[in-house]
Amino acid sequence: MKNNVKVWDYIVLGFLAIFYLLPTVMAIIYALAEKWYFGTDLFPSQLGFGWIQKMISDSYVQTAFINSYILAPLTALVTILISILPAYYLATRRDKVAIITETIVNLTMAFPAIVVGTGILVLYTFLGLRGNMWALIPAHMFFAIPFSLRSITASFMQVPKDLEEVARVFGATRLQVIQKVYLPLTWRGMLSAFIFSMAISLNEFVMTQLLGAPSVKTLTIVVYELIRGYAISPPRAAAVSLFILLPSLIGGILSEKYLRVSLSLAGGGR
Amino acid sequence: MSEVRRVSIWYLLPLYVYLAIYLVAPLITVILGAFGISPLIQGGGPTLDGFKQFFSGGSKYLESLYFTFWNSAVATLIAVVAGYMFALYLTIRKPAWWDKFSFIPLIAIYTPYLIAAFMWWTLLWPRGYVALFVNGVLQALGVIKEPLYLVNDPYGIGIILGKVWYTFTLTFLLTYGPLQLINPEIVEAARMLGASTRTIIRRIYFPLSRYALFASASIVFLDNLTGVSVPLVLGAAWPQYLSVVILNDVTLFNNFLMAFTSGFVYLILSILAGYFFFRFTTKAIVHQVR
Repeated sequence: MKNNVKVWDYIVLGFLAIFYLLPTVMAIIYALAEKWYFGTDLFPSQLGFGWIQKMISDSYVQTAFINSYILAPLTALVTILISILPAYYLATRRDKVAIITETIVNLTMAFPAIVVGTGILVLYTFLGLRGNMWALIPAHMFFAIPFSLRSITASFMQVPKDLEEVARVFGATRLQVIQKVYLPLTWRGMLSAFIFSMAISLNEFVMTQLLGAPSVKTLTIVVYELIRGYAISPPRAAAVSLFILLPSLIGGILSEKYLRVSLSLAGGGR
Repeated sequence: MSEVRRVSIWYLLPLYVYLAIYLVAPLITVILGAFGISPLIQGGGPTLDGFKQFFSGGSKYLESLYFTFWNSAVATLIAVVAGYMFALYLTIRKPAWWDKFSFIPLIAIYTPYLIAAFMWWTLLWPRGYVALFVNGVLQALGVIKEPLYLVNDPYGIGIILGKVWYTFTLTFLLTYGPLQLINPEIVEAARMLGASTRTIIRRIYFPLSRYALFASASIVFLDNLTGVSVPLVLGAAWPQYLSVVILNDVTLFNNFLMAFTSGFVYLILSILAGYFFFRFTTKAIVHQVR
């Protein structure tokens, strides 16, 4: 009976592993498949780094890569900067304003990206910001702010209140308290907010497609063009996918190991 | 509250300025646009034409809304049932492998939607491994004669699979925590009184975690309802998700009146789903605190 139960444990583990790892493995196989006759062969007849090398040396992909990896950290940085003062308020005051603010911020997650993006598109058209890469940063922040604010507020709540009061009694201003007491003590929360915000920006497709096209290309846009555009090429798409997928997964696994990011954010959704 | 602790309301200013520009203004733009008030609509002016077109019999928008709704509901049902059962399994069984392999379901959290959709496409297209396996088994059993299309199909099977891959993790994360907070002594007492595992689930775990489950169902439904990337890559040419129809209206057809109108309908639906999410989340928190 006990052995039977153990077998079931391993069946569940096996199913889970196949369900989650197989799609990732497929992306890697497609990226490495230099020759694969899909009509007759189950597996590629030749593996290599040909597609990956081609994509690395492709100037179109290079530009998209640079854009993605400029936008993501900047989005994360600005998201955190904009979240610090409100997070301090939310962590230290539990009044009606704080509750209303939290509700409004959480509510942003309920709005469809396509609807908000369409609205921003109208504004950007009149401000002449369509196709402007820097204008994508605040748009990418839209879904990063709720997570960032939640993570930083939760970290700020952990800071012992006596530390702040001592600093204030010795004449520190509130901004100095945030800078000298809160920020050094809450770097883990900041880092988890940074990683998650960066991942959200790297993954962002709808806002970039609506507001950046056709002049601003990011890696997700290139992948989309290679799977649904005029020049469909799954191996190329898989090779470009790896440029986002691998850093995302490595960053994710490390942050789970050291910061428990997703568990601290659970309750929000994506 | 002491003077030292009082924080000025101005600390919230950066957030509210941002929300005014990137939430309130775009939503007002879409709502006004749905009634024809937008400079992007040719020959614009107050009108209800968008709604007439949207809700007219046989309209492609209504068909799309219907498809979006039932497809999202099926994906939600599968993800919520599977995710909750998995959370229950971990809570009750506490398998030895969980500590080492707990990162596996989190892969979905760190995989971009669009790339996940592409990864599933490689498995589900007619020569993909999952399609070959499923069709092989069904044909061997005599259930089907011709292979099924599992992706870009009119029933949205590919969309459902792609979405469940994501939302299974979300449901599991949202229900596993509350299940851990249930006092193990209650379960122990029930066991000593002879309750079976099924009875314990029905009488203890489910009642004490039901609001967390309903909250996760609402957020998963919301996520499924409003997503773009997965239905865009794994969906058929028709029927399409409403989100894809809006994207096409904006980027391909320049039909802003219908994009705004569909957006308005979408907003109402998502606010309703969001309302249930927050309502159940609050109840779940109150329940746990008690």
